[in-house]
Amino acid sequence: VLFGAALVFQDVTRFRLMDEVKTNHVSTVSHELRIPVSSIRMGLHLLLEERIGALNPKQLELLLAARRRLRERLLRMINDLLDLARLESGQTRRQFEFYFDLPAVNKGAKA
Amino acid sequence: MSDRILIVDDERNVRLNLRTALETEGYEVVEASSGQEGLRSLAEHLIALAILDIRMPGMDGLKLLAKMRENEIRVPAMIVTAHSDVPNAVKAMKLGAIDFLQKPLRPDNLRSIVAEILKRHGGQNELPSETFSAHIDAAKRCLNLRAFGKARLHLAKALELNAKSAEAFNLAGVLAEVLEDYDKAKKYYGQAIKLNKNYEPAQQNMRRLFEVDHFGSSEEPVNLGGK
Repeated sequence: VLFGAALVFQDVTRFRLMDEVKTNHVSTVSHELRIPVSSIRMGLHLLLEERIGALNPKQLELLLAARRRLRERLLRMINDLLDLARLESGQTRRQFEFYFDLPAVNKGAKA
Repeated sequence: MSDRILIVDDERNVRLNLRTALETEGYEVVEASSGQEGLRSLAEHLIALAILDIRMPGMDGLKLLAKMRENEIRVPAMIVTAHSDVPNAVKAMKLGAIDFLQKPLRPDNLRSIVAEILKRHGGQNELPSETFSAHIDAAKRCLNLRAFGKARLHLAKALELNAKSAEAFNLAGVLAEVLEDYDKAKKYYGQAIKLNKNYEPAQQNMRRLFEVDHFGSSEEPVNLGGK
């Protein structure tokens, strides 16, 4: 009967580095995407408020649809990507909302 | 004559949006694509308000603001930022910029904050009236002008007139933050919340300090209240 053990060491530094690069890339891409998207959104607001000129019904319909698509898909996707980048980098601060109810805390402390 | 507003932002689209939102409100707009160009515009034109992007290549918004103050240019400044991080916010507040606008911008938000700042600085040569809101406005103006001692006096007077004002305590918290006394800032924000637990500006400022303490940074901008 033969007894033995095999130990396999694998250097994963490269993979870890690649993972880090990916996380940074996701974060950079999301931020870079958010700048033009925010700009487009404000442009849409300015057109829709009709202070620079009235829109005809077709123009209005097209712009409203564009705004909806922007809000529902693109912005959500970018925010998801940003959340992912934050989770991966350990910055998970926006997982919950803080609400300071100091009067209630004081009441509780006195009770 | 309409007020002239300077926009300093390296993004052409952002400048176009800001210009359109402000021109439709009747303001005259001057654009600059960099901090250096902004400084030149401030020397060439009579500017009522400067809107500065905090992140720009070369001379960024904070450096421009520091340069303005160094050159005794006392034009009020508003900071536009994609994410308001506290070290930058505190630096900006020390340089007299207490008004922050966070991206994504909305035309109505921009117009209302611009109108408030211009109103705050429009009547500064008039004799101050002894009402609560006059002292609150004067305190904000003094914060803009970095007259922190005077700001404190106006807040004390406002609190004499209304000792139960969440807005005055919130502003006292902002002043304490400018002076880097974060414990006092928390105490004042806490007092504002105690007086009115649904007062969002104090909630937001407290949240920001809490997040900085626990996570090292925050995306909450400084909230002066009263808008």
